[in-house]
Amino acid sequence: MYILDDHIVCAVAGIDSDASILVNRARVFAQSYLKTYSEEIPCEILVKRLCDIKQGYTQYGGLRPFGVSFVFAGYDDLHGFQLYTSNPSGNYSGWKATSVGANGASAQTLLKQEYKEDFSLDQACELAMKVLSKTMDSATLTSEKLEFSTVGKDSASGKVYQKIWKPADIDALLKATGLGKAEEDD
Amino acid sequence: MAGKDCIAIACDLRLGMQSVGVSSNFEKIFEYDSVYLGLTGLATDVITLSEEFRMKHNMYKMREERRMEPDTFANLVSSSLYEKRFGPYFVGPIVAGLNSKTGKPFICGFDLIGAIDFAKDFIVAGTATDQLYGMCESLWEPDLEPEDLFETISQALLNAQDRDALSGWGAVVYIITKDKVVKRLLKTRQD
Amino acid sequence: MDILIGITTKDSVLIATSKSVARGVSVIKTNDDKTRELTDHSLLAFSGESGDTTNFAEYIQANIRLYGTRNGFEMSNKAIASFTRNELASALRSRKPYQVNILIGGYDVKKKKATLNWIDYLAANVELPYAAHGYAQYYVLSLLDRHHDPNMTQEQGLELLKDCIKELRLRMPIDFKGVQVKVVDEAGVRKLPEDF
Repeated sequence: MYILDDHIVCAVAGIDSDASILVNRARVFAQSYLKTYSEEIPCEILVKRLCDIKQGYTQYGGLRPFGVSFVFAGYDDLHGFQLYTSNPSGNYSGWKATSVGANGASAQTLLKQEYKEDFSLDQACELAMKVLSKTMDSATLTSEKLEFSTVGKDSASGKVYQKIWKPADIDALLKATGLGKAEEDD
Repeated sequence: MAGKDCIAIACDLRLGMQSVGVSSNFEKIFEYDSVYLGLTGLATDVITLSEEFRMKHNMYKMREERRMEPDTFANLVSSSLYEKRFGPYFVGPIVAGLNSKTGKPFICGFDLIGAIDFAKDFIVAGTATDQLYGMCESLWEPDLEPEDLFETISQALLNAQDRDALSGWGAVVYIITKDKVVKRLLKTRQD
Repeated sequence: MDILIGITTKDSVLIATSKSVARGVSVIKTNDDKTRELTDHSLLAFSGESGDTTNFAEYIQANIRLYGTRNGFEMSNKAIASFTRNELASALRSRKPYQVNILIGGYDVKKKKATLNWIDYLAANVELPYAAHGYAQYYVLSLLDRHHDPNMTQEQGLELLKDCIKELRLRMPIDFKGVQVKVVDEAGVRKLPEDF
């Protein structure tokens, strides 16, 4: 899980070392956009830019492509809250709920069944946790085995905030949703 | 200005071209989380540098996954300015902040090529430096509480800028304590 | 010396630019347009070293149009002003800086707000309620200080602009062949037919 800018976070599936190169490129690009335009970069422009880099490595010989898939979560004034995925070929797509990586397909099916458009942030967190608990290989979920982050908007101040959760917060959510221990009941 | 477990930083609001006043709402203090940077001098360089430091500060924050301390930021300012030793930015920066671990006040100033001037009491910069030195030297005393520090820095700035033809047109004061930052706009004479 | 004046009103920006072009002691044009439309709702006015001016203005115009077609939406006025400033600032410390002074008038359709940005050849960028460049500054800024009101209507704005031009005709030592006035508001950018 990486912060790309004050309003965008991303999760990584694939080769970590490849990802850190792209994450750095994304951060530099987001900052140089902020410097040129005095505005935070719209999510899609950043995603598109990263995918242009990825695509480049599929077209020219001699180098291997970046072995990374991303999930981006962000907010901008243009399209509000947004979710994107991208894969090593450089294709990207926008989603309301999505997953990548091992068991991604079955997670997708679960999300399709249970996702509702009018979810609150808490409900969305709960569903994400539930899907993770069913699709991850490990028997029980703990804060040591997963990372969690959210992008939200403060209703009072209208300020966008992004948060990569601390282990204690994750454990608290696991406890609240009963998923940390529920596995034993199954 | 440094106080007891608190600091204050203040600036006027005028932007002018020599004698012509252009804007009366040009802030020269920039906030980088808990570090404060005051930039006086050529307006274009004030804008360029404030954006440059925002970028460097954000990159530091993301790469290190922690906040930048005021003394670290001061060294960043110094080395960035010295990079342009033979074609400098025409600015007079000051840095102020509280160390997040020790809570100790940190203030310092620079010349245009990045030489750092550390101080325990106060730092001044800009066109009214002579007047400001006089005011600060006579008003400042050690270990001021936040409210007293606010009064001291405000009076120092206001009376100094009234004796400088190129400063004024409003003022802004920040009072920074461990758990609170207060920003106040001061009403001043508009001539 | 060219004249650029910008005034914001409640729901529009008015931009006046002088119509004359002079080379040495001769006037060589009397209907010059010192503006370029950047987007449907933003207008750039420029003065300074001839050659630099149109070249820089059209370079900015092309880049902003390119941004629009690439991304499928137009840049905000804040972004436009900031981009223009950055181009000017990086040119400032190059071998040959642009000597161009700029006003950017824009109307934000979503926020229903008119903005005016003042940028000089040193690339200092500020948002102002009213602004001018060149010698015209010395005459009109004091007039505007006295009579401008951010909530004035477009008609009142035009009256104020007429007063400014009247003062300039009286005080400027050289005939500037009148001004061309363009308005930026909700409907977009348009040139006023009247002769100012």
